[in-house]
Amino acid sequence: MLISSWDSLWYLISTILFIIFILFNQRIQVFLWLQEINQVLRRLENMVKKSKDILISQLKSYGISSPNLSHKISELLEFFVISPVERDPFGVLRRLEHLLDTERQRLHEIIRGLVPRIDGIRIRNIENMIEAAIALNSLYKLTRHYALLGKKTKSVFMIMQLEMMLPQITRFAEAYYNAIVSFKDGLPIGDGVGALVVGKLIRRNKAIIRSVKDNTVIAEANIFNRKVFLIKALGPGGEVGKPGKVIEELVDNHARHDQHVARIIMIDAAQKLEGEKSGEIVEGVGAAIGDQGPEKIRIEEVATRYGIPIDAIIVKESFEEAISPMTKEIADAANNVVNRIYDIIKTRTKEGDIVIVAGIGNTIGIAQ
Amino acid sequence: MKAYLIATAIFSVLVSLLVILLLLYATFPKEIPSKVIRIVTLLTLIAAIFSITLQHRALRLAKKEERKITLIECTNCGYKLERPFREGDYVLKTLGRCSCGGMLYVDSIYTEKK
Repeated sequence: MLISSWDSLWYLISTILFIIFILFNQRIQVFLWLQEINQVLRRLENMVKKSKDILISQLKSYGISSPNLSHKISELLEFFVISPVERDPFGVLRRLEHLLDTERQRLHEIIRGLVPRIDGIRIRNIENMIEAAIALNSLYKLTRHYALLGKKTKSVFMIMQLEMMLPQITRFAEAYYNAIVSFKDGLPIGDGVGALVVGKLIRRNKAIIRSVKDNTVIAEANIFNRKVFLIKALGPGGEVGKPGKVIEELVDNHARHDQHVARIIMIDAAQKLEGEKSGEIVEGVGAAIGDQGPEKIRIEEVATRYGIPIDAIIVKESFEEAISPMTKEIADAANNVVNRIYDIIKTRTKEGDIVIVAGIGNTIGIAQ
Repeated sequence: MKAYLIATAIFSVLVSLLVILLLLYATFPKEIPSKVIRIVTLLTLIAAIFSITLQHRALRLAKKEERKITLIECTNCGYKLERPFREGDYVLKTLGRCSCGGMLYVDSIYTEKK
């Protein structure tokens, strides 16, 4: 009797459970996805808070005692740049360049307003920290926006898409967070491999620094009896400079004196595909520069105008490695790139030629 | 990281004790009441799950620990020295004279996983 009643009870429970799973399976799935999204959101929120704390402590270490510093930093994290109109593409890069210059100037002014007696290196590092913190904050807010919107509209597809993007979102967030830490310490980052190569060339060839324009260094060296101009951003603060503008001016100035630049060699970090080895060196042609366009177009135009071949040497690395402290594999690759450049200069140019070697990337932690 | 390691150790000890209790029950089944052993089995299971989760987290955190290294080189004799990164270090910073008379400078700064 007892066994029979237990059996009936189990049958009833399993039938109810079966019906619940049939009717509410999607809701249960959405609930589980939302739990995962909320977990990532909490992590992102924590990262944003920590990055804010790092910024505040860094600014305080420079002697700021502003009572509403936290509020000012929060406001700064909301800083934005409106992209130029692309429907009319005429002059879009010129307009973009102007906006990027204005952004940089504005950030510079804000930091100067906060810490009036800060030196150039530190101001650039703080600028970089703020840029990474802004990116992290935007990522958090965007993720939160889609999570809340998905919940509000009960859109299964929106929640599902967001859940599937979570590993990527977490990777990017961690990369930005690591970038803030490395900018704080002034450590070289993976993206700076181009600048590191040119820095080494400057040191090893006892190059003379000719000028500094737009936070970009132009050094001159004699390598295998070729006049080699070595270009990199002004370090060791976090700076990318304006290599495109500088190369354009350099080539134009030489052309005005009937001197022809024989070759442009560019070195930059490039995003590797999954499965590729970090620090792998690959060679090709074209302007190796990952800016939004204004610098790249100047190099392409000036090279086309005077028929100058452009060699591109790239060091493969992941997005996280590019904005995180430089790894040993990437630092070692820089030495191999130096040898590769010597080889290119020796084999592809003649004695007496003028060659430009440009190391592209953020030069934080790398001097010249 | 340290907290995770301590918690992992505590849970591991707990799991071991509970497993010993279960073994005792297996050897002397009549001496220990079955109700107690059910509770012990449940506790063992919970402690084991916690222990595995904490170990997993501790391992993940341990993987991320990196050493920041400054590589110093001499311009003349090629002498190389690796030392932990210090605040204010940057690549191509001159650090003084080498015993050979050459200049010591920072050749590179990089991170290495422990």
